[in-house]
Order: sequence, then C-alpha cells, then structure tokens
Amino acid sequence: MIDYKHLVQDDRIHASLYTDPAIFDDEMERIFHRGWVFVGHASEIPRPGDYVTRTLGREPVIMVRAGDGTTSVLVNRCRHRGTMVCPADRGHARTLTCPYHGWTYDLRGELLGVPYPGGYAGFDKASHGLPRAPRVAEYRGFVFASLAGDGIPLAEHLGPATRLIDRSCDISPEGLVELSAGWVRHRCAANWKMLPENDSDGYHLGFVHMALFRTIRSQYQRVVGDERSIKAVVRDWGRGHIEIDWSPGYEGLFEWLGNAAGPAVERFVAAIERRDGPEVAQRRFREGPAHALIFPNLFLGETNIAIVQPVSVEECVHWHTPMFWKGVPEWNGRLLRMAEAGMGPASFLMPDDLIVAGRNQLGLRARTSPWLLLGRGLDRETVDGDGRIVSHVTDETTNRGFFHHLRAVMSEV
Amino acid sequence: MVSEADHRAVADFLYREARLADEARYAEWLALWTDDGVYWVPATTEPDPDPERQLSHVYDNRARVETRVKLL
Repeated sequence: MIDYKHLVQDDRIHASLYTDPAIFDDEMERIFHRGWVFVGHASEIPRPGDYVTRTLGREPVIMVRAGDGTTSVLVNRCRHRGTMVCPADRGHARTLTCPYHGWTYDLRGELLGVPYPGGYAGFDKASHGLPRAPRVAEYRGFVFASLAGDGIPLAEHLGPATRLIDRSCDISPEGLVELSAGWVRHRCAANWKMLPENDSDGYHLGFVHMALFRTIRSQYQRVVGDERSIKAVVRDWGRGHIEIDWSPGYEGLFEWLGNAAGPAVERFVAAIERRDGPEVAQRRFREGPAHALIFPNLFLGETNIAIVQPVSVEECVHWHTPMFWKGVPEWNGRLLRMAEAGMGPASFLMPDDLIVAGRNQLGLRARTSPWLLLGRGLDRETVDGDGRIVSHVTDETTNRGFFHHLRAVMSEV
Repeated sequence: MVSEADHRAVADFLYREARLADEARYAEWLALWTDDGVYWVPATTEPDPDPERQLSHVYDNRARVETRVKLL
C-alpha cells in the first residue's frame, strides 16, 4: 500500500510520484479508469456512425455516435482475439468490423455476427459485445467517461468548474465550440502530471519563453517583469481543477486574441451583444476563454484545447486542436494560426515546455534529494467569495490544488 | 511544358535556397522570400488538406518565418 499522505504533503511532494511505475499503475486504475476522464467533443462525431479513437488511461476506446444519436465509449478491442477493431484516428461506419476475422459489432457495441458460426456450439452473441464505458456524460458537448459503474456523477466531479467550460463556450455566438480541425499529437519524455502542472504554471514564462517575448509581442508578457506589478492570478477550483486567469492584467478587449480589430471583430461583438447585452459582452471579450485544467486530462488552453494522454511513467502525449466558435467561421483561419503558434512540435511555446518537462524527468531520477517544493505563495493566497483559493500568478496554488486532489483520490479505500 | 531554361532556373534556385539554409546564412535565406510566400507543413494525411479548415504543423507567412529566424 503506497502512502500518498506521506508522498503529497501540504508544501512538498516526493519525486517517486513522477518516477515509480507502481504509482503510475495505481494512477491509471484510480484516476483514469475509475474517475471521470475527458474523451472528446460531441462536434467531433456529428452524424450517426461517426467515431474517433482515444485512450482512456490504458484502455484504447472508440467514441462513436449511434443511430439514435447517443454517444457510446466502447473498448477498442475485439472480444475474439483482442485486435483493435478501429485502427484509424477517426472515421465513419455503419458497423464496426474487426479486421482480423471479421467479427462485426453495431454502433452500440453489440455483437451482430461472426463469420463461419458453425465453429461455435451454443455461442451467446449477447455476452460478446464490445465492453462499454458504463458511465458517459456530456457538458456543453464535452464528453467524459468513467470505466467504473459506480461513483460520483459528472456534475459533482466538475462542480463549479463548469464555469471554466462556460467561459470558453460563451465566446461563441451559438454557445458551442467545434473541434473539426484535427488533432496534432506531441510526444513528451516526462510523466503525464508535468503537463497539467506546466500548463497552469505562471512562474516559468519569463524564463522558458523569454527568447520569444524578446522577439515578438505576446499577451503573456504581462506576467513577466516586476513581481508586484503582475496582476494575473491563479485559482484552485477544487477537485483538482486549476486555472491561470490572465485577465486581471488585460487592459483592453481581445488582448488574448492578439488585439484583433476590424469588421470581423465588430460583427463578432455585435452578435454577442445581441445575446448577452453590452456589459456582459465587453467582459467576455476582455477576459477571453479559460486557461484551465479540468482534472485530470482536459486542458482548456484559451483558443485551444489539449488532452493529456499518459503512456508510461516517463512518457506522455499532448494532443491539441483549436476550438472553433460556432456561428463565426470567419475566425477559423486565425484560430488555426494561433494553435500552430502556441502548441505542437513546430510551435513557439510547447517545444520549449516539453524539453523542460523532459529535463525535469531526468533530474528527478536523482535520489539524494527526493522532495520537490510546493509551497510557493502559501503565505499570501486567499479564499474568494466563491470558495476558490486565489493567489499571485507565479504561486504554486495550482500545483497544490492538483496534487491535493490527487492525494485524496489515490488514498480512497 | 517547362522550358529547359526555366527548369534550370528553378533547380538553381532550390539548390541555392538549400545551400543558404545548410550554411546558416539566414539573412540571405530570408531575402529569398516574397511577401506573399507561405511555408506550409500540413498535419493531416488526408487528401487535399485545407489550411483554412485543418490544423497544420506549420503555416507561416513571411512575418512568422522571420520570427523563426530571429529565434535561432
């Protein structure tokens, strides 16, 4: 039995959390198989028969829309010989047929037929369907699944952090985002937890990304400079959901969109003002979409969305795609260019982050000093009126929020 | 049909471009770019990729190419 209360303390954590294969196995079971995990977005499978393939912890899965419009998350493994039934990243099918011996399943995973059935005496088709994630739930098109039959409902897992998803969706005139640009996957030589931590780390920007800030103008520059003049904050929303909010440092609208201006902006503003009134519309365009982690694997990266896929204790994959705003397709080109600038192996930010993550992983092999500090900002963080812990953007309030929830999940009996 | 002279000019240009990049002569390399030049590395394996609808690894205009050079 691993003592997570010892490994995760209030102001420090133990390196074995990033390096011990037994802890990785335990996390896959408790966090990624029993808990709620982000799988994909409803807009990725708009029509019956559309599917995408993903990984839920260690389980290869298929997220597929059935004829009745419902979304299923099926284990991507033929019941016969274990072959992956859908090898493609995405596709469209009337039935799901295993490429090895032609076993065929319907879009809900029921076994329809096996070739040459004479070889099976008394075969019970009904008990040989593709295993299904017993719990699948959606919030504003974001599909989450759990491989456990019992547990808290999705609404309880998300709690008030639904407001973070709202913040990203409400920028769209139709209140919906669309994920139709395809994903780029970026391999990372580090434990999966490095990515959520780095995505919500406001302390590294002036070091890891300084070369970029010296070269071009960026909204992130507002968190580089004199410590007391930085207005951006971090928030711990509870249950491992953590956020960087740059917006207290923004002075005008659309700083998060590179200070976009022109007729396309005016039409966009007019559409949101009609829906929400001018005051709320101005706030939405000043604040921009969320920069937050929905525990454990969904990163709302402002105009992008990312998935953290654990592979092994020292390897993970960062997936990303832009979130298109339904109702204003004229922005898609700009959102694509922003995604290419920020994330992926040829971008200006992520390659530096993932190299540092790999160096963290190598450094953590040192056992002479196994503890990592987690206490930055403990003396200055505060609790706001909604019960969220808030602190200076460079503080480790986010790391603590993530790890203290992880400790709770991993310590459940 | 491309004339032999045009074929030769295009080939010479490509060799020159590659040589400047190989020898890290980036100021000269950058000077080869026209303002409407695009450096495109599609991320999809689907036929007929569309950079206005699909994510690319790289879809740089002249300014973004210059930023990459400055960062070297």
